[in-house]
Amino acid sequence: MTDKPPFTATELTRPFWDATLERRFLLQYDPAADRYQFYPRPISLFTPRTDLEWREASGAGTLVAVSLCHTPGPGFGPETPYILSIVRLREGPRVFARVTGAAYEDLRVGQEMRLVWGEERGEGREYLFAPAGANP
Amino acid sequence: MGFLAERGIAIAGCADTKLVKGGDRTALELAGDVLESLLAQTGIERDRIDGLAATPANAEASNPFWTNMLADALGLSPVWTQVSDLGGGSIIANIVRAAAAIHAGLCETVLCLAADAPTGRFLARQSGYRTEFMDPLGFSVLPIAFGLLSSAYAEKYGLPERGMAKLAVAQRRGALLNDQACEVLRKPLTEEDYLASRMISHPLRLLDCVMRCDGANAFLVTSTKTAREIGCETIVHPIAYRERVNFDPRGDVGDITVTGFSDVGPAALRDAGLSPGDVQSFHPYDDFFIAVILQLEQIGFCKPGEAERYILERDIGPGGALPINTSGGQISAGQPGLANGGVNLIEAVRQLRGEAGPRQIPEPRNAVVTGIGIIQYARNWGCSNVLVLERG
Amino acid sequence: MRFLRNRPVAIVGYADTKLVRNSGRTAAGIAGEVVASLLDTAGIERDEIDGFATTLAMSEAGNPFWSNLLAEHLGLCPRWCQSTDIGGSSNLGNIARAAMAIEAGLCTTVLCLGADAVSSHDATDQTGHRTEFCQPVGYIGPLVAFGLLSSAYAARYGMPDEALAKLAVAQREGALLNEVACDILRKPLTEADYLSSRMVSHPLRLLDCVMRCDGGYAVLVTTTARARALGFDRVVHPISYREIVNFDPKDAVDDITVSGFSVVGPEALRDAELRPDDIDVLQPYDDFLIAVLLQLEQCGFCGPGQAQSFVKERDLRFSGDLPINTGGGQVSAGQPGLAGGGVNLVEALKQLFGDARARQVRDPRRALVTGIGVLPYGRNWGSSNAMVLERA
Repeated sequence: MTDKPPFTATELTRPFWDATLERRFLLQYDPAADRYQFYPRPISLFTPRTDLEWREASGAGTLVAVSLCHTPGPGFGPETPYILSIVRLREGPRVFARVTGAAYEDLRVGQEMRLVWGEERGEGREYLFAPAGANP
Repeated sequence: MGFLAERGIAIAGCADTKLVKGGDRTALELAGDVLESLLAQTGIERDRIDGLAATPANAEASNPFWTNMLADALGLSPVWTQVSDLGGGSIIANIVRAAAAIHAGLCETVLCLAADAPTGRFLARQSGYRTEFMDPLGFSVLPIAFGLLSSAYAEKYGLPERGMAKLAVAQRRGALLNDQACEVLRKPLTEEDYLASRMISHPLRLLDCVMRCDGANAFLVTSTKTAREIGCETIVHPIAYRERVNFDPRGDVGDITVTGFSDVGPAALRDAGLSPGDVQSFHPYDDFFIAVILQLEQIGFCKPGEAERYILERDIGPGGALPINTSGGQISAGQPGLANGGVNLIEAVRQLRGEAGPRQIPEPRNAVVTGIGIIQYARNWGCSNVLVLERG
Repeated sequence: MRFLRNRPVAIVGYADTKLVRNSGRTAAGIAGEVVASLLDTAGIERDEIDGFATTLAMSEAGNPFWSNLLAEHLGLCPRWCQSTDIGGSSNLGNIARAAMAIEAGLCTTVLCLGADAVSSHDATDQTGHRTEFCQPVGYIGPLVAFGLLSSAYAARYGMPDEALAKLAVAQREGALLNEVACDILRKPLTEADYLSSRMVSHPLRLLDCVMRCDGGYAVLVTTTARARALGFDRVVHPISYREIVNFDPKDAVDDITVSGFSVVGPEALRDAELRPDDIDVLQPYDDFLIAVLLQLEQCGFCGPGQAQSFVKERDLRFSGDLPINTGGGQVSAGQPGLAGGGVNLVEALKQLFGDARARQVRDPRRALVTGIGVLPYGRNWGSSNAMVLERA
């Protein structure tokens, strides 16, 4: 049991959250522009298309920003302090998520990261990042 | 915005309330207080106010008809009514929207008013990416976004701790000389205090952050002609303005420390015919000190990565080469919810009107005021805007 | 807004979505659909859009940063970003604000958007007089306000049942010919059906009222010069606009049936140098049918108390001598929350662009569109606005 906010899907984002339950991280892909986007949007950022494809991300990326959070959100208290990050996926988009499998002091902006999966909560499963070489 | 250069628009008066944490007044009551002050100060008849520009209030956010309610409660009957929902960019945006409405003939005399009482009641509810893709993943407070941003800056240039410590101390000195600042913040501060303050979202410290409070501010914007007619002795003209929302929408820049200010900052100064060295007082929006660092660089006061050295080499107090947030800014005076940017703007106007009392800059001719609004997803902020003011 | 007379601003395109009750969608999802549709039909690059004005969404109420959130969702990067919170007046208000911003040089090409999914999710929570002085004493919604207003009108002039019935039928005929109207409303209606529909707040009937639904509108506004340069051969000019919020703030007019339209209606026509007879299509805001009759009287189509006889003498259908709300209006097409004014506005554009197909008015040149917003305490409504549109 957890007091953390549940993941909730909307009409627009349901394919994404459904896929997280199967441990797949989907990006919206615009074939006309050959570009990916995240979070899911109602329209391509690159062309006026709305019929975007869902494609699975490789899960590999680069650490863009990292912070050790001492001010927990609801339900995160027992895990405080926890590490938050922005990671740029190999496909292009940036993703905000917690980091696991590393001490804050050992993380360096610019290092390679990979997506790992956490607990199922509500309509989705938490995604996190870990250093590319680390065991989860 | 070429018409602003004609100096045809005037800020003819300003008023604010004391900033209070945990006050017992509602946003509507604070709005009434600040309107009363403004009417008394300017001597204008309320019925001459035919435009109203407001900001939303966190304390009333679930009501989608807030400006109408303000008009009703304050006895105004405007022929142009505006709400600006650009977060901390809203107050200076309203000055320029008022100017544009006057220029377009929609109205003649505008009350730009912001009032919020978020410490008593907070009805704002985020939606969209914030509730779906940030909060459930541990995004609890705004400092996280600026902790992340600080880490990206630090990786490139090092964390500008000494520069931010100097800013913290200089702004606090301003708050000590500002009777409207929150009393809980009006205590002396040293650089050591700043550096020793606890980490909120590493590498962001407690003393990097604003504190929420209640308060209101109001500005009377009219044509220069009407300002003279009502006997306004010291006119402040908005002379240039730029705004950018959702800078770099497709993520092409590839560096989250590059913000909309890299666009609007240099453009606004150019429109005003100023170089950074000509600026006589700077009132940057300060939710977090790292934002002031980024603005100094991206508006063009110094080069990327050089803000710390720039600050350390200068006196940034009222008598200095570049006075910054002389009344304490929001970080040392308090952030009155969505009336926030008014803290920076009203100080700029007071300095130009020569009403800043013990913290008065000697005869400033111009001021640059900025606004920042809204946390974006995995980037920086949504709204960047810059207003250049000149004493008439 | 006298400058509108010179036709410097042009509406070059529009788009709408099907109106659906309980669609289960989000306002942002609807916004994406309608913006994609606009970009497609107008054939314009998104980066050409440098201004953005939206209405609020009841389904997202409480989010004080709505226009920014939409900009980020839609990939817009505006230099002027705006939301308007004057309720049902906001869609029309945004066209005027876009014109104002263009005239002031803030931007060149503006996307005016309204999208709401209120029938799927209503996040509004009123504050102020509504929660403090209305709801606790039995106020259950706008239909109470319009029942009371109807009784005041009836006491003076008699209840205009026959005119309301005729209007209800004429608008329903429009909805039957309008494929984007809510399907559950697209059923034939007779005057007898109207008159026998149940009382919801006596003397207000069920068929006097709008039904909430989900939907969105997008309108593209630019300079007339830019419209030509981009090759738009069909354009519509806004040629006059007037707005008033909180008409009669001091209760000087001792008659609650006199609304802000008594000011803005005649003014908008005078600014356009037109008389009521010069209007080819009338698209009055219709949350309740009684509001349409009040507007006819107060805009000057007939005298006070004469709406009943006026309507009886006229043919209100698209083929008639005074076509009113030819797509069904909101009462017969549905009210997509705070995007509701878009129903009336976009139908006017369809008529003027010649896109109204089975319900096309023959060669219309000018349309009058209005907006109503917000319920104040113990009066009529908070916002009244009117715009004259002219086909180039």
